[in-house]
Amino acid sequence: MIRWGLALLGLVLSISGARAAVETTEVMLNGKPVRMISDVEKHLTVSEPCSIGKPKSCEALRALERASMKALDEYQRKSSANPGAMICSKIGGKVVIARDAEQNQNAYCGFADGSWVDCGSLFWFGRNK
Amino acid sequence: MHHFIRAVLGVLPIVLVFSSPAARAAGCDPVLKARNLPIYDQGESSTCYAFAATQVFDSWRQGHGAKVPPLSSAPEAAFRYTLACERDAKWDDVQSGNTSRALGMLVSEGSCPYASTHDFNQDQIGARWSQFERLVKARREYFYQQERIDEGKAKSGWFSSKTPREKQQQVLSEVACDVVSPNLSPADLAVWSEFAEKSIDTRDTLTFLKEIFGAGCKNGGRLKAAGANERHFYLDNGADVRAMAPVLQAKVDSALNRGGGSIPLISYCPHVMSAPGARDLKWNSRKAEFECFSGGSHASVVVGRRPGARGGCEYLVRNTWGTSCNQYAYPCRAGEIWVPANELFENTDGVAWLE
Repeated sequence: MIRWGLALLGLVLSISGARAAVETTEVMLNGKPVRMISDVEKHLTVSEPCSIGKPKSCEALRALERASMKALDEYQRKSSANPGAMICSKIGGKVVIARDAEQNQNAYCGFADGSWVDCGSLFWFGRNK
Repeated sequence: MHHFIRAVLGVLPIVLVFSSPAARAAGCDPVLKARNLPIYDQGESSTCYAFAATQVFDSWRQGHGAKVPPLSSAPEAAFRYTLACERDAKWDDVQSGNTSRALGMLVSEGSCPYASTHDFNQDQIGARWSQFERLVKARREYFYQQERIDEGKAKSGWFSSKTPREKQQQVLSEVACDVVSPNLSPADLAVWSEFAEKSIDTRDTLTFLKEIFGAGCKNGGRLKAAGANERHFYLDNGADVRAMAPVLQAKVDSALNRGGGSIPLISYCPHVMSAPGARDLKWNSRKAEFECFSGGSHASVVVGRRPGARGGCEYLVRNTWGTSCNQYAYPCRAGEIWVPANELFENTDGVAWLE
């Protein structure tokens, strides 16, 4: 009985562990609530209309292919600014900094179709190209 | 007896981890500081020095009994620092602000409350910041060239000095090249042209921005850190980065171990946080300065320490690129990253703190 209980507990923990890799949060962007999906292992956070498994499902995901540090000019590369925010402007997005109730901030990159990607993800995907 | 042995065995791993001779010898006693200050995001503005300095300043204030919030405005500090730099050629340019000088400025003059700087903050000024920087640089370059022309004229007599209007036109044309970009609307360009023209006419026009960002201070007064003294340690020219890493680490430890909300800020190469093993800090003998091989130098505060999983210490770097952890290769939570000591300090060229 105890063995079955432990097995069940292990199964529950493994499922919850697997789910923990993908998280959803809500942030306020331009005064509107936006649901964001984060895949920690993929270093990726995008807004909910996007499907992480479908790279072309929204502009924010398509932008990851264009993200590149080499696209920045020398002035920007030597800057201490958030590199993902600089990439965002370079690839046609608009940077908006979200604030939570504790005044913590994070920059997101918005696109014409209404999709958003975390600027940290833009840097991660563009850091070596 | 049986229960006693089991209890001892249960506690033993924790005791070993946190009080082992190795951990103690390395000075890795766990520390976590500045827990209730927010995580910032600089956005597109290259003002890390101001964000790092205001965090050191606010943590110190809080540790000495000040009510926090209000927090200090980093954008205001950046503007004020830039204006001060602009008046003193000995100071660094705006692109890479000197963290210890920015911190010293806050100690001597105080900071402006974040909430009182109207609606201006880093995302709204971000789009203007690079243009502002380029304007200041162009203006400084112009004055530098003008000095050389005047020197040459004094020596040889055949250089012709320009009229004030000609000077103005020359700088305006330089600025126009910089500010005309696809992202700038005609209305913006008009505003910036007017700003450039005024700022060239008189130095005091630049204080216009200072007035905007400092307006809140008129009502609320400046935030002060009474009794604080700015301290810093920077590598000597051409110093052996690897050999000096333990010295920098000891300075950071000293600031973390100090009471009263003391946290250190470091000047370092941020590339290390996304590329473990990177040794990015190099001495550039031509420029006679340390620089980061892969990009720009950066400044952040260090707010924690713990024993590392593979020996040595790990330090908690609080970056100012938001709460995201997507851009880092190390353990991270809400914009704070645990970086092994050797990785961090072999990419660091300076430390500043308050005491």
